Amino acid sequence: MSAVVVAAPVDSGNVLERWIESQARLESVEAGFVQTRELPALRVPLRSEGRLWMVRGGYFRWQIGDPAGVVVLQTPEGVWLAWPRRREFQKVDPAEAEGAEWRGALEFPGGLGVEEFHRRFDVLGVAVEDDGICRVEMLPREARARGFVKALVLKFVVEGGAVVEFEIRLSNGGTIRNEFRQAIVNGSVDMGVFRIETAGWREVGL
Amino acid sequence: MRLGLAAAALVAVAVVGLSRLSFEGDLFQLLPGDLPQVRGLRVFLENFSQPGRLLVTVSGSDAEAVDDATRRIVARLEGDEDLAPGGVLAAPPWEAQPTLLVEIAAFLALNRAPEDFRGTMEGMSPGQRKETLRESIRRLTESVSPAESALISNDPYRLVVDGLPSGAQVWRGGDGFANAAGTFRVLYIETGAAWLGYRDLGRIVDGVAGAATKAVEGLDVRLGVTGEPAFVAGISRAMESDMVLSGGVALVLVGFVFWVCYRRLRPLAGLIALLLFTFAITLGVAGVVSGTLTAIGAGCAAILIGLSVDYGYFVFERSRWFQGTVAQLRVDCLKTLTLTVGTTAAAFFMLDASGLPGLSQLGLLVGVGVISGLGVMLLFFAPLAMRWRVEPSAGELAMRRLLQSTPWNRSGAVATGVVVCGCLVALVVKGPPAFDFSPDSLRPGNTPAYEALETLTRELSGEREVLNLLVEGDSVDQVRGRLDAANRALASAQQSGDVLRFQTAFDFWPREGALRENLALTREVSLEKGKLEQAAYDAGFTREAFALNAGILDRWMAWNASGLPDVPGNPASRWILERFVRVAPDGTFFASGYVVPAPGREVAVAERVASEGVMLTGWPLLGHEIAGVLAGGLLNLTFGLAVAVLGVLGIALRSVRRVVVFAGAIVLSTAALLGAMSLAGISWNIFSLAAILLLLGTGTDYSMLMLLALKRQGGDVAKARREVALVIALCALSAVAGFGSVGFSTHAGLAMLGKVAAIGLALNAAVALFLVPLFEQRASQPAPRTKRM
Repeated sequence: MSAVVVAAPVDSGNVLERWIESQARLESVEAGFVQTRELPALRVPLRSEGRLWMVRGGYFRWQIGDPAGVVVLQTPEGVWLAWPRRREFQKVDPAEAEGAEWRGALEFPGGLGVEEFHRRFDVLGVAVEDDGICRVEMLPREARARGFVKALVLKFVVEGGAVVEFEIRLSNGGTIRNEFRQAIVNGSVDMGVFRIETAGWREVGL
Repeated sequence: MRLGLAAAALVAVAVVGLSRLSFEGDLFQLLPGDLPQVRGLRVFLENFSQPGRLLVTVSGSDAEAVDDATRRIVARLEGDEDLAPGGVLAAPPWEAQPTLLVEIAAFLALNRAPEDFRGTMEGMSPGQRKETLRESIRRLTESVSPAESALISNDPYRLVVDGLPSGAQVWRGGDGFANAAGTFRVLYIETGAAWLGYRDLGRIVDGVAGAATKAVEGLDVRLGVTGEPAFVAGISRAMESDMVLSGGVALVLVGFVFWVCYRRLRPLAGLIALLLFTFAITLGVAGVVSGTLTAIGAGCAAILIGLSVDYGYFVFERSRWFQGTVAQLRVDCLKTLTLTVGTTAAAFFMLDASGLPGLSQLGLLVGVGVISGLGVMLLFFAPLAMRWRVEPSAGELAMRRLLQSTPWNRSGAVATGVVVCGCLVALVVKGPPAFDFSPDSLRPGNTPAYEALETLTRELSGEREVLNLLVEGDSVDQVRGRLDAANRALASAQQSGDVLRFQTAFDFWPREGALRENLALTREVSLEKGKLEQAAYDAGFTREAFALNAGILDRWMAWNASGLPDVPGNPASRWILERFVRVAPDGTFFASGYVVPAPGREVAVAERVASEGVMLTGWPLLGHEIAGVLAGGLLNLTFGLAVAVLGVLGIALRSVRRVVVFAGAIVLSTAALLGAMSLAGISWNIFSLAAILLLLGTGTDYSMLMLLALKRQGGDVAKARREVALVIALCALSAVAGFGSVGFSTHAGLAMLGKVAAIGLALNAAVALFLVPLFEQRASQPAPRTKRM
């Protein structure tokens, strides 16, 4: 005799709302990631390692490479883009940072409340896959970002909410995929990572 | 006989002048040409705008619908020799044919400092090309900008990216054609209509708008039409309708006032016909003198009707009981009207010194018009009024009794006192009207073309005000030097936070020596195209990614054989360069750029950048300049006229007491007007200042007439009122009707002038009718003696 276990259908909409709420309660996140860029003009994908830090209160740092090749830093005082190897940086007008073209490459939907999440993203579909991973397909609502982003795909573990992957599909056919690992949630973060010394560097425009 | 000859001469002036007269839709005809900002804006638009280009905007919430609509409009208009003989462009020329970009990319890559270009060439040398490609890959890995990624992807040796960091932005995406979301698109239609009259322009604009509307039927999109042909046609049509509408309304209102008072048809018909005749003579004079009528000058119709009819009322009123010949009636009227016509005409002629050509023309037209109006009324209306005079109707008698009755005048005095006091309280509480010398009031009305342009600016470049950089010189090298200085000044302003971003023509401006020197360096590398392509492929790029670099190498090779062109000339190059580079027919070289200043720092940035041959232009700067130059001039004129009016009145009244009463009445009504302006949110600008000047010339007439009548009647208020109350009421009503009609003009400044003048005239008339007799009575009473114990 065999037993068939029928799982209760998962309400995927609720899964997303629960995940957003759990993210909004986070005090801090530190995680490593592998970024894979597939661009139409390249025969081979570009892989690089990176790291991100988020602390409640508007602190965010995202960087590629170790030592960092590019850093995006956001604090309550402002937004900076920096290329330490080239000793170049750009300080971004906060009014212009909202919806700026480069934000599309970094737009990560973590740490937002439900209302803010839906203000910034248009959810196109939510599906919970057999392996317990929730896959959310969405689009940024900001008009400028929609001009070059075809879709954003977020994958997280339903149980626990850990983010597995975040992919940006570009209008030109390219993709930027970030696979996360070694996430530390609500751990202690050295606030020094949210400072960047740009003295003697060249200020550039994007 | 003599009257017939005079009429024939005036008709001849009207016919000749009117046949020469046309409407002038050029905005710069309204502005003082000697102001540096006006000259700068004019030169900028003459050299960097396309006079025959019409812009059709398509917007909607669904990008696909907007795209579909754009394609339908292109399909409808392309090949239409009548509406779009020069073609239709809905995307950058290089979007459909990317190789078109090769020419300008090759030119601009060469147009760099030789030491920089040498570095690029070394980077393509066999020993270094691998490292150059590795760096490109690193840049692709680190880029946070999809647009930059796309550019480097197709420029593995970074001939464009490194050579032209600012210029590269020009061909990123749909700059100038669509917003990033694709929900707003612009089509550029070459109508070939640069030198047509406004009626023909209007036909083309309507044709394009109609064809576009029909083409997008069934789609949920909105269309707009803008560009110079749309502006000229829209402004000229608005002027025409302003003139007809405000003039027509004023004519109906003054006719109505006459009918309510006198209930006589034949004099009314004669008066209306003679007002139209006066108007025709005035326009005839304008046609003979200048040949064109500006948007502000078009406002003359209603004002002229409202003022000229006063002389008709006066002549008719005097004729009712006049015992004498027509000639004697003319002399009698002339004695009283000389002063009022003189001050009115003087005030309007003084507008000529305002420095604003539009206001000058309005002043000239109305000044000439009121003098012509007086002449026409005395010459032609006086005999008609004498011939058609009949006993007053019951209605007229009732009106006269009302105006002379004590309850009416007491109520009038109380009501005037309450209104004046209310306005004074508002003045004290809210303060005087705010100063607003933004250039908005100088722009001709809110035509659909303006709305479309505002939407276009908002969608394509954000909400911020952009200033234009204009650099001029006699030689290529001189302009290059000035551009270099401007670039450095702007970079420094950006460092200090005064400038948010800027772009100049510096990267596009030819460096003649460097171009030749750099081209010579490309001979070897051009021969290595195949090896360079293979190296890029080996580094991870596709074959297609090398296409732009290959095209540039081919072009360099061709130029090495045939010589460099003066300026790249294919459609993509032209499209990019026409926004930055221009050689005028007289050989003057112009370069342009744009600057986004930090809010409130426009003037500081302009002062920082300005040097010989270099200036920033823009509407905020024009407003600042106008505030500094024109407002001061108008204030001086106003004070000058005030002194002159008081002097002339002093001679006429020969009484210091009455001059003081007159001055008191004018100060009171002017203060009340300021309170009313404050209350209504009307600000001080060139046009409200001009209205105050005109009020000194026209509104003062009412107090003047009342004081002259009081003098004639030996201070008897009842008799003075019997003599002039009705005529003052009629004149005030007609003048308010005239200026009030102008208050609905599509030209914001003219409308403001009309509103302020109408409110001021009403206050002037009420003070003259109800308060001046009381002031005069009070002032003429002997001071009470102190009782002695």
